[in-house]
Amino acid sequence: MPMAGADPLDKLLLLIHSLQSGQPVPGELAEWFSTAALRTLGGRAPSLDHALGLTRHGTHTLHCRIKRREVRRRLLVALDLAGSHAALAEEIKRFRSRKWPCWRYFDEPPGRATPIECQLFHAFHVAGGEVPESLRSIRRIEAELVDSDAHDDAE
Amino acid sequence: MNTNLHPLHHSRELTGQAISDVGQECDAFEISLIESLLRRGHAPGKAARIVIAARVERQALKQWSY
Repeated sequence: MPMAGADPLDKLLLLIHSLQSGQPVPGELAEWFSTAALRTLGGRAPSLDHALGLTRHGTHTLHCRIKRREVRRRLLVALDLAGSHAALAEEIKRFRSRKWPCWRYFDEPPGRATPIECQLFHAFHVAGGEVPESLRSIRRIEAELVDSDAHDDAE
Repeated sequence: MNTNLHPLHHSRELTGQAISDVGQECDAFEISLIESLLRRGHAPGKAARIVIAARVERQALKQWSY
């Protein structure tokens, strides 16, 4: 899996995956992390996250970024289940008004939830209910997932 | 259905390859995500990378978020 040009957050996540799974850490990731650590220790960078390139997204914390990415992935799968952008927009509106008020305190979607409701539940759960529903937003989310290697935007 | 889907979306082989690249068993959501990404022209290796990243992110959100 070549990592050239990959988002630093993706590199960090793949490094964690390698460490947790016991798979060898790819040389490119080992080099990336060790160079950043040495730069920090040598005083060339103010902090390790800075040296790793993890602070490039302005005021957006890593936590906020991964929540947003999860919402986008859930909506992408929901889009395919819905069949069209317009159908998904309608599903989101319906879910927000009819399902989310009852399900918002659940940890998991109820067993009676349909596949698309399951995806929307997870999106709403992660986003605290703040899920975009305009056609423009849905199209943008899909385009960003398709075009960006980092599968999120650089806001 | 979405009209901009990639012509390779019928290939089960590509889905299998992406799952293999993940290196571990995939759950239903991850398989759906792989299929959604492949339909839009992602290579199996890239889809696998996104799924691996997503898995670690979900772990962080589930175990450490509040």
